[in-house]
Amino acid sequence: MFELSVARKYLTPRWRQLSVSIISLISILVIALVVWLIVVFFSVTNGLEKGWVQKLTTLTAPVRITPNENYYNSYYYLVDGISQDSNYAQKSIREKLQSLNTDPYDESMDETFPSFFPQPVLNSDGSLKDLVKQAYFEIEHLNQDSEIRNRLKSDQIIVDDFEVTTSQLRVKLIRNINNTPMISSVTQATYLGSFNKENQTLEKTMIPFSMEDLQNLVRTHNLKNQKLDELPLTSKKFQKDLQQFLSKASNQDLKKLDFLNILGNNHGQADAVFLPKTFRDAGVLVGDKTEISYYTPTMSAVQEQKIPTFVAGFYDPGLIPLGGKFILTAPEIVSLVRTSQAQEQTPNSNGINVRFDNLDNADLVKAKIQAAFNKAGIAPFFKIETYKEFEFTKDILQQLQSDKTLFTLISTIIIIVACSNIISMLIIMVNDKKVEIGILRSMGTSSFSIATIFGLCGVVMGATGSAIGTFAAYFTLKNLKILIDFLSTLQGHNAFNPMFYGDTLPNEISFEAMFFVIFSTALISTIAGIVPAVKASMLHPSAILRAE
Amino acid sequence: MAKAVLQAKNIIKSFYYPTKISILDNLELTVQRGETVAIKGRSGEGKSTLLQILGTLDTPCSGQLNILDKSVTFFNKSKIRNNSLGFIFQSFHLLDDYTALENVLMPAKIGRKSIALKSEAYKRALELLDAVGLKDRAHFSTKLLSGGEKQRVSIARALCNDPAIILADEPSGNLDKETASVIHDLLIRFAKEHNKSLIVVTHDDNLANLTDTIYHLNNGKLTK
Repeated sequence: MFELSVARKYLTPRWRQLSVSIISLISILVIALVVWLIVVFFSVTNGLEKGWVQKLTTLTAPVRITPNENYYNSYYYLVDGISQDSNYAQKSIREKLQSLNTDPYDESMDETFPSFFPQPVLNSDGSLKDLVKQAYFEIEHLNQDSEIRNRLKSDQIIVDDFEVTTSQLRVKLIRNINNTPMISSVTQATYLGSFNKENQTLEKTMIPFSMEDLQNLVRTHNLKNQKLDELPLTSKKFQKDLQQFLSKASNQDLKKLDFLNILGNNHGQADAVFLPKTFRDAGVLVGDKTEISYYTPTMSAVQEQKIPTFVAGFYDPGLIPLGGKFILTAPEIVSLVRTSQAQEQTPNSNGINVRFDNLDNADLVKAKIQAAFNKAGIAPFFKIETYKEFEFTKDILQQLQSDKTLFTLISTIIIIVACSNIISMLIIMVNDKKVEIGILRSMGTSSFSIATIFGLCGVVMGATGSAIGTFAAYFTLKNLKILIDFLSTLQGHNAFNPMFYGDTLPNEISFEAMFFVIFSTALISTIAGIVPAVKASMLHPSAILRAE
Repeated sequence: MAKAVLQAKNIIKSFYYPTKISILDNLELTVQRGETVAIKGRSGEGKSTLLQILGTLDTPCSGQLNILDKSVTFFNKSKIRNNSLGFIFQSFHLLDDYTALENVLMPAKIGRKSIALKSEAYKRALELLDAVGLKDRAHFSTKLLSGGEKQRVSIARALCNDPAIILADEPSGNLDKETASVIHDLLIRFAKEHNKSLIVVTHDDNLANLTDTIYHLNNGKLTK
């Protein structure tokens, strides 16, 4: 292409046009710098947001369904309280799901309904509508929905119940200091949540075992019986291999569960607890013995109950306000603690988690569930929320979105300023190439071709700057740790607080950011090239050649 | 009967600043195919302006210009310049960043013709450089050429697209007498050999005397 070949000639640095070459180079470098900054910033913030959202949904789910006031005031829920078949106790979602009898009330055995007792919601055949089983059925049935299948692809919707209650956690720390065993303890009021192996996001937030964890495991779990003491524990290679194995194992549910079972068996059938990483910062290690204690009202007094457990691992709860106090353990334990406590004194929670990998589909899944619940007539009993609407995540996510929008605006302005440099550079170039423009015009080059040549110069400069900036950003992200370590050394403390940003900053290039800068740079460079291009095309060849 | 390749009718050109100066006044000119024409006149009389109007580089205030029976308009100027006109300037006006061969090939490139190694345009460019005695300088940067060599490249370039009309503005104005003589001979020989019409603006009587027709520009009108 004629125009491109001439533009390439004009952009090739030459001694004779040193000033133009230097200005061109500076323009390209400014664009590259801006592109680099934007791609790195967006990649890190996008990665952080992704990580935060992933952690937020670790303790929750992309979509969560909680029974509302209508549910708790319904015949379906209250009937267990007056039925002998239900031991006169209300049932959790899990118990309702597992119950074989939807309506446990037996007229001959149970007391008469009080006058204020609500009316049952019945199916068309006159039987009591089983709200929980119906809800599970409707959600699981969504896996057959063609739109959901298309959007989720191989991903499946997984449904499980969740329970949250409160308890005290006591961790016994047995440490060998100068070969003398020292015992201390950490006690913390905690929220107790159920660890569910179906929770795929949880495994992604698990923190790899450290060497101290491994040594503590060997010490506290009597692994000597398994002849592990014969293993070269002091060998660095062995430690590395074992660490790798355990970190991989913790990312694979089945392996992890097998591993925990081994630990559990070695620990006299104690149950495992997973603690948020704040406990680790407090000196707790994997393998430490723990107790979950709670208070049960009896006929005469309130008694403390204790469940022996052990620390099976740590997870990163992200930015959830209660994340630092949220411990995970077997669903049976949570259910036991929850139902054993005086219900009116503890902030308990019970509901249904709807899990799937791709969070982008949360709104679609919510809408589908809402529609299915409406159709099934159970919508008035449940509140359906996506992770964006959870009370404790809403503010953080909104803030993240606002920050991104703000930076996008600032980025656009920075790119405009950087690209506007092209205008001045190209105007200098047009003045410098006036005679050549006249000569080319005399040989039959059209005004449009002349405009195209200088427009292309702008686009090529923008594109070159973008390419250099993107490459530099990729290189920076690949070596982000070195950069952060350097910044931390300069400052004398962590450049980025691990509490907020995690132990390592995300270093995957954001294609969204890359497309944004490449597209906007190309667009703005083209616009910037228009003014000089029009100026060049308007030059009158006779005037130029006469002047020469 | 020879056919007119260029017809200028009632060409008027005036400049309006600071006061109105009439340069060309109802000028008429017809050039036949293969005819060589010299335009002489005093400095400032408007010879270059006339040449630029005839070469569609400038626009007359009024009047009609036909080239190869086509009326020149805003929309077909570039195409006419590329296909039908070849320019030779006093200051050569070669493109410095290109070699002699690239300069000669430039009109073909602008006309979107293939300039690949074995293309017609490439062969013709080499032939033209050979004809002007610069085949061995084909790949030299034009910065390295002498004035006479530059003008010979300029002549070759003017002929690249095989135009019907060659317009030369003081082609030997920047050259010494001997070199000028060589250029004159070359120009006239080329025009005759290739049956091109040549319109040359010059002060040089030697060159003018080599042409078929000599016009004098005086008070905005051409006289023989």
